[in-house]
Amino acid sequence: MSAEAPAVAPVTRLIDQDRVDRYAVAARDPNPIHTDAEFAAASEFGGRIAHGMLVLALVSEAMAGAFGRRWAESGTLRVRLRAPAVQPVEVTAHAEPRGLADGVASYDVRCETADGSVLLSGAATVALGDASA
Amino acid sequence: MTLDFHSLARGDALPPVALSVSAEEASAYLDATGEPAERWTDAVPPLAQGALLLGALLERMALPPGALHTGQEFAFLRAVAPGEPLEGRIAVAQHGERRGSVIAAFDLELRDAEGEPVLRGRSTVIAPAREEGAPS
Repeated sequence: MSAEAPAVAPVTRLIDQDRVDRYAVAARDPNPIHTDAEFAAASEFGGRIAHGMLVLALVSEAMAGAFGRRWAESGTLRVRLRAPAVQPVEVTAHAEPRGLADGVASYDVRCETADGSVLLSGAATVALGDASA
Repeated sequence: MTLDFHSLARGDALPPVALSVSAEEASAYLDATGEPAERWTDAVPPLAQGALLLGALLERMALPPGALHTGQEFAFLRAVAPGEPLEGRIAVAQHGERRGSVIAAFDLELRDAEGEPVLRGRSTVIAPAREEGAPS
């Protein structure tokens, strides 16, 4: 019998400037590329972009939704931030099961926009322990 | 003290950072990200710990214009209670110039009061190299 990692429901969220502003305060990230319209307009992006960690938070939310506290006790993430999220943008985090071995479930993770642009991608794991039995 | 990104070198370490995530800070983080708060009543969202440790780094080191956060790794080793005292450690794991850009990687670690790690991570940043003659 092949071992399968449990399914993880995707998480979709609108990332707009209000959310980015609140995140900048909550995460104490002062980088003006996220919050200062004049600064960001002169940047290579031509406008403000969301924090990569805010986009990554959707992946963490999806994994926590599936595994709860176990995610905080044994989760791992390894991602490349591939493109900036220019707000407002609707982002969906996906975690596709890759396998289950030695009680550890593995996933390919990505965040993408509604038009399919990939903002980040990588891998996540979580130890299922007795729950996998 | 504000660190100069371009003057960092592999092996540099920041002084340890006292860090705890209060229930109010966790709530503000969850409000900003949109994650359901009821999921984290007795533990801090693990990514919030990482975000605040990165925030501590950014409080001590301004990123140069054009810098991009290009990679992120985390390992969450145990759940942390709101308000639990932690110590953050940040060290430069990689710092080198290549084709006009500086690639820097920072090793992150949060330890509990017993010195046991509760989170480890690595952040990778790419920034334009400093132009010759530019002020450091």
